[in-house]
Amino acid sequence: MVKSSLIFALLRKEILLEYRQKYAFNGIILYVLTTLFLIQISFQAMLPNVWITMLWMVMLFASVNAVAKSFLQEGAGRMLYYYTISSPQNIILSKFLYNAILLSVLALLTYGGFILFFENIVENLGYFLLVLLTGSIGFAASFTMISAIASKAKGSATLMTILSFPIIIPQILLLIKLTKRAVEGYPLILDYKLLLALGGINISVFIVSLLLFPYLWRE
Amino acid sequence: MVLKSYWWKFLSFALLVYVCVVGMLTPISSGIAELTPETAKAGEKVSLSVLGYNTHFNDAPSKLKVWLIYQAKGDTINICPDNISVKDNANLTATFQLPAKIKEAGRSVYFAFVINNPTDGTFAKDGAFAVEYPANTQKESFSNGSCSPEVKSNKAKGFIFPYRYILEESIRNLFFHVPMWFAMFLLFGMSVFYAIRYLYKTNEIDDIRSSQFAFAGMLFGICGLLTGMIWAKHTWGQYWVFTDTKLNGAGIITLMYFAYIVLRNSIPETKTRAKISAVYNIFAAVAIIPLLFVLPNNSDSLHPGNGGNPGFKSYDLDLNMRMVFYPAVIGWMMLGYWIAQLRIRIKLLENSILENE
Repeated sequence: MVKSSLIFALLRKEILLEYRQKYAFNGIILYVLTTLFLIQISFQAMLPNVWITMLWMVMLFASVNAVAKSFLQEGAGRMLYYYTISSPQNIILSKFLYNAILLSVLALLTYGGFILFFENIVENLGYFLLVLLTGSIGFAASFTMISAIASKAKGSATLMTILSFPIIIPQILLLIKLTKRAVEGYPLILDYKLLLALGGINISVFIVSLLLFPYLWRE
Repeated sequence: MVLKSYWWKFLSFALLVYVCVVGMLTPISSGIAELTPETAKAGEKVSLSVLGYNTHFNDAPSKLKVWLIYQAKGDTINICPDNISVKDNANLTATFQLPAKIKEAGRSVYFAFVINNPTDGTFAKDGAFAVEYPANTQKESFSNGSCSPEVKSNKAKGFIFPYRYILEESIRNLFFHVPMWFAMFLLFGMSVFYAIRYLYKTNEIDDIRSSQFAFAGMLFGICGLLTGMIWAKHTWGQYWVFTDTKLNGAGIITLMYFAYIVLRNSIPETKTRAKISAVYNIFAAVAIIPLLFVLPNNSDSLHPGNGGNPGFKSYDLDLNMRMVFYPAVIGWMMLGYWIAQLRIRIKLLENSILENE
């Protein structure tokens, strides 16, 4: 079943592949920079609300693009090969871990970009980073599974977008709400219920992915 | 006997006919729709004009009685009008001499406006009229004099629905909008249940059931949205309020099932389609549903029972309303189940025709 050595081998393969190709990650970074440039030109000065919303919008579209390739890039032959060496849980876990790392880095870089292009309006940095990283991990959990579904449907990246947006909207609403609190400098303790809810959603989405992926995988 | 096993279809039809007839034809009780002016100063003489709803002021103008009533801990003020002039059945004007002195000065005092007449019984508008008492007002209890309201219980008027300020006739929408959401949740729940069963048993009929329950649920979701929009236009003045989390939640669920249909249509092969759509159905339900329960509890909604709005329960959903509301819930749920069942049977027949060809 779940074997950590196998998961790390698969994770290493994902990272190595990314390191050698240097295509997806650089593409996403370029995408974020271009969007930020565009936002900067059109808005010039931003209200805090717009800043927060734009941050999550940029994150949303960049994440969908970043994660879309995780299953779509795998050909049928390679999937068959994985099938012979591993159980499905290991595959989805390694993909999830890789995407979580990728999106966390992406989130931090996007935040850096926002500081660079605009200004740092965050007052409670610890709270903000917690929300940012929890959000990225939640995105990774949802999008990894959706990417698997979209690839099985032999659909394009468009199908991925259609399937993932309704699922991610409630999560984004909650994230924007929490980010606002962090930006305004509220202490973390006050919102522990909402944070727990966010964490609970991430965990349940993750567990359901683990349970459902084997059905998707079998053919 | 075939008829015996389909009793619930007849029941559903009968219940919905009952809901439509009784729900739409029962009159709304009398109420005060508008009271002008809404504020006055202490010691003034004001003439208040009342716009009644479903009222019969002209039936017996001599027996018509009107009061301003204020009740607080240990302080009751009843003011009788100096004179009442009835214009027609829906309009009257009453002139009051407001007291110059009050026990607790330094704030506004909200009076309830009460009307009693033989045809309509007693009805009131709470906190309808505010009188300002500045802090330097003489602090002295108001003597009610000879004015004492004889608030009799409502004259028996048969089966009526209560009058609610702003809601007015649209209160009947309670029998359509709310049960439709209940039915939608039931149908989507069935859809998810059969999706799980499909993954366990890999029986094609479960996929057909799951998808058709989803379609029927969407039908009810769209009906719920439409009836809700009509209601929102009447009470809130807009068809769609984007800050309302319940509305957005409904929009998101509907979007999700549209995505479900797009996904189904994008896969030509039956087995793959069944499996993938079942997985998406369950996954989306787990990802969306908890948040729909988390979000509304932490943000404002214009719906009753949210963001400081009184719920229907605190309005004590009138007994007469309940007598139509509960049958409506059962009736709409059964209708939804019936629609889904018909669609499942059509689909199965289509499949068997395809197999025979």
